[in-house]
Amino acid sequence: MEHEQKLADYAMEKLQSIDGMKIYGPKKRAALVTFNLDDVHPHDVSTVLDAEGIAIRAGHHCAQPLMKWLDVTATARQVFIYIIQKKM
Amino acid sequence: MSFNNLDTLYRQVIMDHYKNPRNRGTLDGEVLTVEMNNPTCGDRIQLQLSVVDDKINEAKFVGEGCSISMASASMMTQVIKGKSIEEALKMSEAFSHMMLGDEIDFEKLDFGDIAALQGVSQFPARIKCATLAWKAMEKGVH
Repeated sequence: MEHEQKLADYAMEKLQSIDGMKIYGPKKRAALVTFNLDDVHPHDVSTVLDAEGIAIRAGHHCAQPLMKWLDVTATARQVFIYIIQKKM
Repeated sequence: MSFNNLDTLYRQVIMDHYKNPRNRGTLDGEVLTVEMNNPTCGDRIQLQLSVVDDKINEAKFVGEGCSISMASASMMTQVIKGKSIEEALKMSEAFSHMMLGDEIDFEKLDFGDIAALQGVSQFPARIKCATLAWKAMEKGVH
């Protein structure tokens, strides 16, 4: 669990430094980060990240009411699990 | 997958249709209105067609979704205008073939900017984005 949490904290820190980045959810969080980048649709974000070997989930996440509440059409989400490694 | 492939997916003409969609809006009067969405990803389109004597005189759309789905809708409304329903359905069939990676005759089809979407066939996860508008059109005229 510690490994995942460290990765999530690292990702949060890096993502926040990107212009136009919007991160959803509370500061204290499980090992995942949900975000949107400017007006780039999350599906486009995920396709570009996929080309870099990074797998994320994009879309509604089966949570349409939440998307409505957040007033977005979709979000991108990176979940951190034990097999994920920091790129050196 | 390389960035070279990404270039074939995100062609400039596609991004232009995404940023400046053609025929975006709604039609008044007696028109066919069809809504279609892709519940797993959240893309949604409302397509309106003005059809007189089996001919599509006007086509407009509103919706939200990724660059591929919105650009595809924009391009489709451009090319189906002035076509008969039969011709539009033939184009839709050809588009599906294009998404499967089949060779098609663009000039014969009067496909306009649509040829730029050819690269989508290399991204199986994105094919449903490109076909959403066409499926809506098919549903509307049937």
